[in-house]
Amino acid sequence: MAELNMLEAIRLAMDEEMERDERVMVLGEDVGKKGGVFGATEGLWAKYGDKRVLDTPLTEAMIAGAAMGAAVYGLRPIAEMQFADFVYPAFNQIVSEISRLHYRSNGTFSAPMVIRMPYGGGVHGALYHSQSNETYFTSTVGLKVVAPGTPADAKALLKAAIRDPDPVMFFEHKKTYRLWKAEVPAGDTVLPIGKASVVREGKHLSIFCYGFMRTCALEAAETLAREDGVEAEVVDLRTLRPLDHETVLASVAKTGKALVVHEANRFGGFGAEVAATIAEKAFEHLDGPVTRLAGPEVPGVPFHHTLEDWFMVNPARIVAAARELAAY
Amino acid sequence: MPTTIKMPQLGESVTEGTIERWLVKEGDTVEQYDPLFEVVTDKVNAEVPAEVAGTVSKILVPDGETVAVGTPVAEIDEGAGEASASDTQAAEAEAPPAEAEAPAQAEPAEAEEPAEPAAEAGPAAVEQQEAAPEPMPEAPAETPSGTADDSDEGGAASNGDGGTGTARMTPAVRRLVREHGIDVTQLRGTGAGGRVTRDDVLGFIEKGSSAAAEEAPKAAEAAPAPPAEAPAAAPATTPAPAAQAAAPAPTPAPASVPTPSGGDTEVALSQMRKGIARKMTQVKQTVPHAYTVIEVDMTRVVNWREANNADYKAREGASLSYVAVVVKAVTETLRKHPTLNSQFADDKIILKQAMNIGIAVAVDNGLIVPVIANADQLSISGVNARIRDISTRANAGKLRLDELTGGTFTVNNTGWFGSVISMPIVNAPEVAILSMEAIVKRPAVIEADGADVIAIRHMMNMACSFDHRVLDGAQVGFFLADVRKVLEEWDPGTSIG
Amino acid sequence: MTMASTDTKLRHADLGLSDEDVIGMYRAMLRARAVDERMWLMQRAGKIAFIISGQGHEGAQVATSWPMRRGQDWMAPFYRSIASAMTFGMSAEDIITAHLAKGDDVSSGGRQMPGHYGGAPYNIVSLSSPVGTQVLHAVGIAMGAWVKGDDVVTMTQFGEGTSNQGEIHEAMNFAGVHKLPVIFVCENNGYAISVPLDRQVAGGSVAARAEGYGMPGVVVDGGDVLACYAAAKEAHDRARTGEGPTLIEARVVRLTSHSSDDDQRRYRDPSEVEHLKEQDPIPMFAAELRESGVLTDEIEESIRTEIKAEINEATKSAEARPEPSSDDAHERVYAENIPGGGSPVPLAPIDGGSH
Repeated sequence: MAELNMLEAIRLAMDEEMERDERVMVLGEDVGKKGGVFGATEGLWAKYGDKRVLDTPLTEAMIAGAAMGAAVYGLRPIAEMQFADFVYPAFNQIVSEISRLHYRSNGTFSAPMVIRMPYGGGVHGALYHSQSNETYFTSTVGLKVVAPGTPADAKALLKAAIRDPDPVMFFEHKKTYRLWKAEVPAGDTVLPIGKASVVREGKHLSIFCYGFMRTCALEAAETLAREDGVEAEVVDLRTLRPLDHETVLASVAKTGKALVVHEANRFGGFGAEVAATIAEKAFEHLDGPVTRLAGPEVPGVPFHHTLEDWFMVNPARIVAAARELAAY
Repeated sequence: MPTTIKMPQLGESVTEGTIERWLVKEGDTVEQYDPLFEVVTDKVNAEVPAEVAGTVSKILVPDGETVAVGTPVAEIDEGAGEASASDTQAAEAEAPPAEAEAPAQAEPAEAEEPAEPAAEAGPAAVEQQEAAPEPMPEAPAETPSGTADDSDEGGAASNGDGGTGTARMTPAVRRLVREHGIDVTQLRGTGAGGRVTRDDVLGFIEKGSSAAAEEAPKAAEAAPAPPAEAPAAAPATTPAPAAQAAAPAPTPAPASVPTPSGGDTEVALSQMRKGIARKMTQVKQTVPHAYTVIEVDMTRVVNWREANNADYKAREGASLSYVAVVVKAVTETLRKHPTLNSQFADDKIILKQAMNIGIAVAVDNGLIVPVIANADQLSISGVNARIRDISTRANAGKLRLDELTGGTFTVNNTGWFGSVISMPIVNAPEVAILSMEAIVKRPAVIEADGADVIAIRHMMNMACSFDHRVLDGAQVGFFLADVRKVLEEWDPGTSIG
Repeated sequence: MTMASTDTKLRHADLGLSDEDVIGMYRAMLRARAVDERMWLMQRAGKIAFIISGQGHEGAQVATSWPMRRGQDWMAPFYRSIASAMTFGMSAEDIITAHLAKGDDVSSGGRQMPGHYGGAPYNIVSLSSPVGTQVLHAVGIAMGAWVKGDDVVTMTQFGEGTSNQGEIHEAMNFAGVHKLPVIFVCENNGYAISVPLDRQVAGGSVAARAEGYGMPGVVVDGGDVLACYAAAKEAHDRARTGEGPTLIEARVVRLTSHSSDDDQRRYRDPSEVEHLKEQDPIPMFAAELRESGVLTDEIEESIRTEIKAEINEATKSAEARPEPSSDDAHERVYAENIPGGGSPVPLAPIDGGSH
């Protein structure tokens, strides 16, 4: 078992898959010689060459659209958007084409591909390098959306995404890239897409989260246990679409109280979907209002560190929200 | 049969067309796809071709007139010639002539069908709508004056008084209350804003005390002016009627209620006792009970237990209970008889997938039935440990909420106080309950070497009470027979686990 | 006359085409036209909701598609590409079935509007409504072939209006950078619905942009079938031999309105519309073939009779096909069998029960 950070785990996943399956290729801006602006693809170009780790022009639409063509042809492309903030020019291809191809062709064409994107704030990236824009994609039928919270999960889920017959949007929280190292099982461990994980058991309330919020929620849970004697159950969703309703509802049935946490803004955020599902399907089990803790209603993370701190959801905020809910 | 030609829809969102001019006249013969007339719409002008070949028998709409899409404009009598697409045409062309006359008026006529002429359709519909919502959110039976809806308002509930049934309760708490047949007027809310919490309900279930009982009549007397929302002012002035009137279940008052006299002693009812009284009455009134008893030769089990108990006790610190063995035998057998592990839901039977076995535990002055969840997934040792654990905690009043709900079948150890036959009451919403009676040494006839002999055997009766809406005697009998088989053929090498 | 006929005969022979080949091209054009016309009639008769046709494009389409190898090459066409799609393998019945939105339609099983062709068995990529997206798909396929080292040429078609979409620019640039084996065919018919060329293409020519993308750009007369073929053949050879992409701009005429929802008489000069027929590539090619002695009255008659029967048969068969059912309208959203479009929710609220 090795100790890897998020970035290393992601890189290893791609390396192993490219070695295993010669249909897998990477394309994106700066992914080749430079190894990616975060270093996610470092070493891959030297190992696999120009045609499998392709430096593209500065053209997001082309990256997504050509990836779809390649996938239709029979390859397994991993397209990288340098930042989730820059995916919008590719939106037409992703939503109009990639998500619909299988359905519109009555199942005769499909696009087995991955689009990897660094997302999230807390790195002084301001409005255009910090966005959490997962909901544009979670609400698009035909896509799968994954957001791992640990290096082990990232590696196992990226492998699954690469092998998946459908298009997968793979969200990597950039603050977690080098934040910490954790154990990553060696070998071909693959996690199923669409399964959440109860990472901490508890009985007083359930905290649903993903990505960087998993780390924050676990820290908050420790504080709650230590200071309040409140045992919070932390559920890492891991996949946003399709959502693991079973695990979510089972947790609510157990604790009766649900707190959904995400960095993206609250209105129309992913928490709304989780909350509505819980309210509809686990009403008889509710012992308190289904609550969301989310980012503020501003169009992005402001730059100055005071403003960024104001914006970011953190363990202290999660503790406060959990305390209130637990006391209801 | 003539084919009707209708005004086609010549573009998305086009709703009507004007016949510019007819290119044929009545009596003309046309081939399929010959042009019939010119149409002007707000998007396109076009020639409309004939769908079928034949003779133009009727022109229904003259030059210059505008009609809605779908309106019949002509009829073509098909000749014996090309009938290629006319079959499908004929199927579609069943437009009754009446449509052509007043298409605009046809719609309200259809809408009126169930009601009166158009003019009155409006008010009638409104009336129906108003009539529809009957007293919708029906107050749960427990609340005396149907004021459960007020429970969210806070108001008088702010002092945590569940006594008038106006305390706030979350759905989870309400469900708990419902499942245990609790009288909400007896609940005290200690949560924020006077909310009745799960702990409050738990405490109420487990702790029965005369102190609480004394409080009840006191509170009843001391609450002469409950909040205006409670019209029925259930808590009256005298203790006995108060206890009775407070009982919300639709139980008709007994014909004559005994009163103490002479040297009689009155014992006030604890919360638990009241709960038991209520629940047992309700179950007996709604569930038609039937009973079956069989004998089980427990000798092999007894021998096995005797052989293993010393080691087990040394290892675990407690003896191996026969209840654990019976529970295991029951869970194994229930898989083959899922109807005994079910619930009756008026128009259907719900076969429960989980096997949550309730163990009836006698506590001070009462009875509790904590549940071993997923008992089928535990080993005998596991079940034994759970039984010990919940019995201990039941007596200490330390059971958890989730241990008191969700049961699917109950095992009742009446044997420990010597009973050899009992007729327990089904633990609704379950449909069956099994009593294991005392294990008694008795002479019994057994077969040895092909001959009948009398031997001393350890015999135990098992009595099963069941809900006859769901189960029949034979079913239950077969179930019991299978349980017996497991026990009578007990493998001496069975591991305790 | 002798000189002219020899010249013309030599012309198609020079290009490596036999008499049979050019008759075949002519037949393909007639077939496409016949299907097209039949569908207009069906639309006006109320049987088809919508049609967007390619009348006037047939010469350019058949000719440019002619070098493409069925089952080996790939095509990412657009909604006007009836003739291209049919040359590359789709049948008349396939086209008509798609317009009737039947349940077993090869393009989409009734899920897409008419004109949104696709055929996995034919290597024709399922197309959509946002214009130009197919061009990136074609480039992606070409990239795939280039990565794998396969002998595959991809062709993509689009109008001059679409040529201005940003994605086209990205597509051509990328194809040029890596010399991908792709042929871009722009069918310039002078109108993007109602917007004419001088308001659409700043430089007046789409092909002129090619140099900026590192590839040759060729303008051909869309009414000159053999010229179109020549350009496409060369482009195909270039692509096959690793020399890279080509942009062919075929100047064609749009004989009909943009679609059945449009009436071009309302925005096009009436005299222009009147003279459109003179630029119809079908009679023009027929005249050329008659002059070279390849096409005779008999051959023409026989082709037309055959085609009429084929179209009638195709129409009948297409109409007899089953309608799609809403029973499985929820299916095949994902290649993986996930129920409920990827948001499976227990049908009943979760039951009580401890864990």
